[in-house]
Amino acid sequence: MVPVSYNYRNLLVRWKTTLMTAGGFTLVVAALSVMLAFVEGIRAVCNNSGEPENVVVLAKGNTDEVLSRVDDQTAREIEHISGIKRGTDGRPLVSRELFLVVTQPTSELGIYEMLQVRGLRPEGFEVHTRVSIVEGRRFSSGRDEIIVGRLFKEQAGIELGGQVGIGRKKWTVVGVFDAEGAVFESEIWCGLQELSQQFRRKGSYSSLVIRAQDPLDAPNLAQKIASSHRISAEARTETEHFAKQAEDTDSIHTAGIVIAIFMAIGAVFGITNTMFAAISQRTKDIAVMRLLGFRRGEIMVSFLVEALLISFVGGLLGTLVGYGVNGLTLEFSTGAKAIAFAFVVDGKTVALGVAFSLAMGVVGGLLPAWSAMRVDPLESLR
Amino acid sequence: MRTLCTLIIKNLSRNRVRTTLTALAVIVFTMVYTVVGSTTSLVNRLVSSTSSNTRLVVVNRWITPSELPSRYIDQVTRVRNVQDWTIWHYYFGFLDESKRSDRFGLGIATRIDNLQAMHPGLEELDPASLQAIKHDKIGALVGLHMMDAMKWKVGQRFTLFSATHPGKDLEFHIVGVVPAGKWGSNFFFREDYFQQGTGDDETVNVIWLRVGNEETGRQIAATVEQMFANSREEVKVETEAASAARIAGKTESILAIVNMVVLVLLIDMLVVISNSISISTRERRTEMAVLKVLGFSPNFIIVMVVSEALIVGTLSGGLGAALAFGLSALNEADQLPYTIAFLRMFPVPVSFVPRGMFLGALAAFMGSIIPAWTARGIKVTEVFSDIA
Amino acid sequence: MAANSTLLHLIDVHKHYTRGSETVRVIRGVDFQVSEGEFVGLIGPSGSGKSTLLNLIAGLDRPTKGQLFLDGVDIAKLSEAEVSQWRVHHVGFIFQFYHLIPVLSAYENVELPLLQFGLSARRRRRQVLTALKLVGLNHRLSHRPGQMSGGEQQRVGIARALVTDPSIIVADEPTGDLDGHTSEEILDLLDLLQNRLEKTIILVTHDPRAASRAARLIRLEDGRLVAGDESTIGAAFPGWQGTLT
Repeated sequence: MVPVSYNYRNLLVRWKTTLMTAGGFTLVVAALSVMLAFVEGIRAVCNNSGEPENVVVLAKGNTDEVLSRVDDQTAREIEHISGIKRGTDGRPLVSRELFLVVTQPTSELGIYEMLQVRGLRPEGFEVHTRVSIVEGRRFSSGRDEIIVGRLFKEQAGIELGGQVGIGRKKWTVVGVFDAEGAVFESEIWCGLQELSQQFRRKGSYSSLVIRAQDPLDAPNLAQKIASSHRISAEARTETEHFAKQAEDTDSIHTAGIVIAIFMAIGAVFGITNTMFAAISQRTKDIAVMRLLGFRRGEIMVSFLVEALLISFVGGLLGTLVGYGVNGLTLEFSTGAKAIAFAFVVDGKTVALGVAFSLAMGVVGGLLPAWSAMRVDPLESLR
Repeated sequence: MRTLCTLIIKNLSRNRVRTTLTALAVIVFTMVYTVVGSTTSLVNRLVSSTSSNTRLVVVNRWITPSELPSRYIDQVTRVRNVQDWTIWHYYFGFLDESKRSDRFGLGIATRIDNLQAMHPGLEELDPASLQAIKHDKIGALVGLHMMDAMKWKVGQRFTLFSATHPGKDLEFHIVGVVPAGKWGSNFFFREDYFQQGTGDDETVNVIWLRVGNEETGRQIAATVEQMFANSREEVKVETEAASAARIAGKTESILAIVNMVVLVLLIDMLVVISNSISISTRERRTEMAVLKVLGFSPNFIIVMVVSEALIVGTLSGGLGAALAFGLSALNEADQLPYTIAFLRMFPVPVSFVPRGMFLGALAAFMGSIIPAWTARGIKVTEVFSDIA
Repeated sequence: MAANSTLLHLIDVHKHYTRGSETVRVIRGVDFQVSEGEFVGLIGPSGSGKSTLLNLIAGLDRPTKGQLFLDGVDIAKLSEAEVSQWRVHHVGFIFQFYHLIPVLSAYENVELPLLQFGLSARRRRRQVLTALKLVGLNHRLSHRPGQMSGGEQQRVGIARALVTDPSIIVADEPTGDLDGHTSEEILDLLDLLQNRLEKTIILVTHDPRAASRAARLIRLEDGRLVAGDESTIGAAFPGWQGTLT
């Protein structure tokens, strides 16, 4: 086996070429990491959002709340279904929720922001158990009070006691809540009654969120509702419901991988160039090594290792650059709904980035290494 | 001059493997750039070209998606100086039972009589299909991308599982295809069928107005907003341009990623070219010293090195973009064994071919100028003392 | 014609290099003259500064101190660009390793220096063909260096040095890379240049056979001239005849 120090010293001697070739890999891997972190971030939010005990009921044909309209009749029917957990007041836990995307002007210049507002009753807090008030208190109905999600607070730069305009009305922020990373954190929550009154949606809800006795019951409950003759509605466990929201990212994920593969092909040509040049500069070295008794296979492995060293350095730098976006928050819109998310660069992404880079190294180094193996020692020393 | 050319051409063919690899890298990079860049270019084009300041969109002031009482139609369209108008009823839902997000159909029920006049981007609609829908109540003009995704043919029927109107799943008869572009992912159908099928005569989603000029547009907008200022359903009137800009703003995070990818591509291209040129100049140190001894000026060496890079960069940049364009055009004409849905959605415009050449040239220039400068400064005495 | 007038005149020429903090004094005060049409051999052990001196004479490098007249012009006083222009018109080079451009044919290699003269294509062609004919290669015009033997490549190198009709030809170990027989051929060619074309030739070598062709030998040791003008081949290479077969 040719000592690896031979390769790495050579790389140091040609450090400019080494860096430049590795740089090509760095860029590809950095781009791949950022794209994956983007998708991963959205998925993390969506996967984090559902509670397995909950079932989300939407109007027939809907997969998200924006277009869904469920009427009071349906809500009452559902309350009669067995297997729903009882709340503190002894009634079945069916949280009637009205979710509205409100276009709020932020200045006279015609700039708008989209507020995601959820109106719910007190039992909502018994259904969404992961939601906890971290500052202030819950809203009380009838007093134009709202609580805001942690992310909303950050993005809007609003403080406890501040005012938020929703429609024509000014509401007061009385609390800030955390939802363990769920999508709710970019929402505004307020009393159902007040919201439906203001926007003329009385007796109509976007969704009903039902709590099962335990997680294992939830799918049955969903099934029961979906197959009921008396109820025409969609019912899924909350986990499924949010997983569905992340579906849009599938195509981005695929696109990211495809783009990265094509970019990788470009970078592979780069490393092939470098390795061919390295070998043509070192035919004499190769010849001497062969005369010293190293076998063809060993020469080939040696140069492949060299290509891998370059690609490993490049890949590692790339994931480091990619890691720079970790935690950066952005907003992603699906339809009228926006999901605030933070880029997630996890171990999986890092591993994928490095593996991707090494694969490029092998592909790009193979042909030159093979040609190194075929160097005729006597011919080249003449 | 002739020798310079001969030298350059011959230098390029000296290490064929390297030139080919470099060219291939540039070709692949420009291909990706062209395909990726087409998406942003299309989004920008749709926002700028079809959004006018003489078309107004009347929507619910607060709630998205918009919903207005249908009695507003009469009131709004009777305002003075409104030249033409139409309405939209959203009829959205899934195209099959899978309920996959890419099988979501965005139906728009609207007036057919002035369909083209009120919907810029429909100019290329086949007049025959427009006639057909006038005589076919359940007729639908379906966007190309929907047709592709569902593998539908004209003449076929389909049922939409409505999300906006649960339980009111309507059947449609495809009478024509809406070309790719702004409306490629929608389908249009008749508003009378909508009302009959859904029974919904209470609400309308959007009212569109056409006005003579921007100034009257502003007046009308003010009038209409004023009209409902104190009613329970307030309206917001915007020019199409403003509305389009706002909607485009929502795709920002994706566009930011796309732009980053484009930037990375360009830098990567530069790095590969630069590396290849540095390697080749380093190998030719002696030769360049000889050229200097023979009296060629340092600038000659710069021109020689940069030109080599420029030729490779420009040609392969153009070739890469042309390949992507060709692929997209074949895809468009259904000449490929598999239809690439993405390319149908974001076809590569021919203007990307010169753009690819330019980018290839730019990357080549930037990638070669430093190696060329280094080569220019080669000290003849040093090169020869190395050897002796 | 000013036959035998002084073409090259070096007066107290010094050349120092700095390597790190150390100053290496390669040429330490060299004086000599070369007349027009002379064939001078520059000899000395390796490291004696032969190549450096040759570079100075050819205007590739500048003396640290001293004057260097060629054809009455002190080239040490010219600017970089002027030296470069001057060199093209007055100096022809022959290298040990030929240094032909591998991608160009024999014809194109010879044509290369002429391209800066602004000559018509016909005139250029005539000159190139004349030079190649002189070295006996008019039948291998389109061959690439890689397709020729060492001797043939060196002939192309000589033709390239000749083609601009320079006043002085400097040759740095022109036979260093060639076998005995081919060396003789190349040296014959240099003789021919001197005899028939009355070229001034400065030949750097440590090959006694090559040195024997020079009319006069200048011997360099440690950056200084040793035996000066009186140097003979016998003094320079004691017992050299014995090495010849």
